[in-house]
Formats: sequence, structure tokens, C-alpha cells
Amino acid sequence: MDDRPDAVIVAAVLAGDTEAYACLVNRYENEYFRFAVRMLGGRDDADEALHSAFLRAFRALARCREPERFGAWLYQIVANECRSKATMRARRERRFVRDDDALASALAGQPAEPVAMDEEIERAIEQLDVDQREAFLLKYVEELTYEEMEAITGAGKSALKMRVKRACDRLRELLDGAYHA
Amino acid sequence: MPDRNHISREDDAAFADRVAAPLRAAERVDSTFGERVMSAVRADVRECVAGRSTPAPQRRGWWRRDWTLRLTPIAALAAAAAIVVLALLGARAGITHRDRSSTFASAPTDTVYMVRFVLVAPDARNVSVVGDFNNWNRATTALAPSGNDGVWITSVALPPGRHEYAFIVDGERWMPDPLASVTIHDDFGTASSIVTVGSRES
Repeated sequence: MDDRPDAVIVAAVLAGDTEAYACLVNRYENEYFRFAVRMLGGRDDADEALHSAFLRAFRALARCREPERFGAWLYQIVANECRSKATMRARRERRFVRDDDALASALAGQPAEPVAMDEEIERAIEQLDVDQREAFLLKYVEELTYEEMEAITGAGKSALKMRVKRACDRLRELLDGAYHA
Repeated sequence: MPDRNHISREDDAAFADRVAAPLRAAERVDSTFGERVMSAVRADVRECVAGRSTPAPQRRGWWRRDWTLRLTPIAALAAAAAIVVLALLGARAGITHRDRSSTFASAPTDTVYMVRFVLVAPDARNVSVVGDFNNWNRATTALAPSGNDGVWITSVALPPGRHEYAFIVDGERWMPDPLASVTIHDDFGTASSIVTVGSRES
């Protein structure tokens, strides 16, 4: 385990020690994988997004303004990558199905067993708009502050609060429909 | 595990917290992930060394190409007098330089333009410019003070095209160019300025 600070490792990579980048990959891969999995609804897509984010970060490493905050900078890249991928997928899927009632029906048809609840939540999360999903996950799953969310998403605090609020409303709608049908 | 009967009656924060709880379970990448990333990184570096692309962080230096210099000063309010004199001198001289010792083949376009970067920062102790042309290295291109009015200047040879840049004040404060006509926020949340070089030249 390499316990050198991020800034030292970044400086080493920029000086030509490419292999030092493995330390940063190792340090952050699992930390951001959960967000990617929740954002994209599956491990394969999350793996692909995170892989791409690490490669982009390597290519742009010289532009990391505060190498001591490499992790926060990488988070922005991961979030961008996930957002792009999720948006592209949403567009693709919208061509085939745009039927929220179908989802509610599907959820309502699930057996009312506690064990199915996690899956229902995951399916409901996937139904959120990309911006709302991102805001909800950052706020309540990653448990970031709005200031941290601002830095990652580039959106303002009031916009983020609105997205979280709308995400909650939508989730309540989707999950209530399932519970009370 | 959320309780179905509670969810619809809770306020937003409690509801969200309850919904999020199962999603907080840890997720781990598979054991090959790190090596796959590093393989891609190494391939990237190899490609760069082979000259097929110019990925960061180790880019080929633009200064090693054959190059021709022309002077095309950018507007600079406070430093006008000194800049104009220098620019005119340079233009009249018709500066041309061929670096025959270059170890690289000539680029398809071998013209570079002298672009003058100017920042008015009376309180600054030092100023440098970073951009795609110097690999965003804040130690490479320092601006020099011009007179005692807080004007900092440097000239950089740039190939034609669109370049992103910013100033670094006192070694730490990132600052887009207040005189630039275009400022962008890049993918990484950083405000940078844009200068387009040689777009109207033949």
C-alpha cells in the first residue's frame, strides 16, 4: 500500500513515472465504483465508465489544478462520465419505451415481500431523470454536502436542492404506486 | 430494509434516507480492474511516444518542430505602449527561424505565431500562464512585470488553432484571462480562456 499523498503521486506521474498512477487507481477505484453502479444500474456499465474516467484523468492530469485534491477532481470526471453514459442510454431507451404506467404496473405486480424491496428501489432509481438520479445519489447514498455536490456537478446549490426534491417526489410516486396497488 | 408502510408518510429527508439505505452497500471493482486501467494507460503512453497522438501528461514539445515566427499581439489595455513597440519591432524584423536540429519531422503546418499574454495584477508577486501549449505546467511560462503599473507580460509561440489557457497568480490562484473574449468551463469544472491563433491567416 502506497501511502504517499495524492499530490506527490501526481507529481511523480507527471515527471514520467507512469506506473505510479496505479496507486491512484487503487486508492479510488472502489470509492467511486458504488456511485457508478447506482448511477448506471449495473456493474458492467459502471466498470466501463470508471475505466474511461481513470484514462481521461490520466490524459488530463497536468490540468489538475490542485493535485492534493486529486480525488475530488477525479470525482468530477467520474460523475461526468456516468452522466454522459446514462444520458445516452436514456435517449436510446426512450426510442423503445416511454411508459411510466408500465413501470408502476410492473412494480405493483411484484410480490409484497421485503426481499424484493431493494430491487424495487433500484428500478425506481433507474427511472429518475439523469440529473435527479445523480443529485439523489450524491446527497443520500454518497452522503455529500451540497457544497461538495456543487463542486462535482457544476450545478448551483438551489438547482441541486430542486433536483433532490423532485427525485424524492418521483421516487415516492413510483414506490407508493407499488406499495398501495 | 425499508418498511413499506412507512414510506408514503415520511417527510422527504426521512423518506430519502430510508430509500437510500440499501443503496449504500459497498461495491467493489473486479480484481482485474486496476491492471486493465494501467494497460490502457501504458498503451496510451506508447502511442504518444510513437508520435501517433499527443495525450497528456507527457506531450511532445511544440518547440521542437521547425517553426516560423510572426508577431500578432493580442489586445492588452494597460500595456498598450510597450506591447505595440515590441510588436512592431518584431513584425518589421520579419522574424523567421528554422530549427534545423529538430529531431522531429515537420508538422503539416509549421507556422507558429507569437501571442502576447498580458495580465494587469498590481498586487501579484508572480504570474505565469498555463495552457494546452505548455502542458498546463505552471512552472514553464512566467510573465515578467512591465514597469511599475502592475502589468505582467509574456509572449508564447503558438501553432495555429484554438488554445485554452489561464493565469496562475502567486503560484496558486487560477485565473481566466479577464480580457479574453471567450471563457469556458471545461469538463473538470475549471474556467479557462480561449485564444484562437491564425484563424484568418492563409
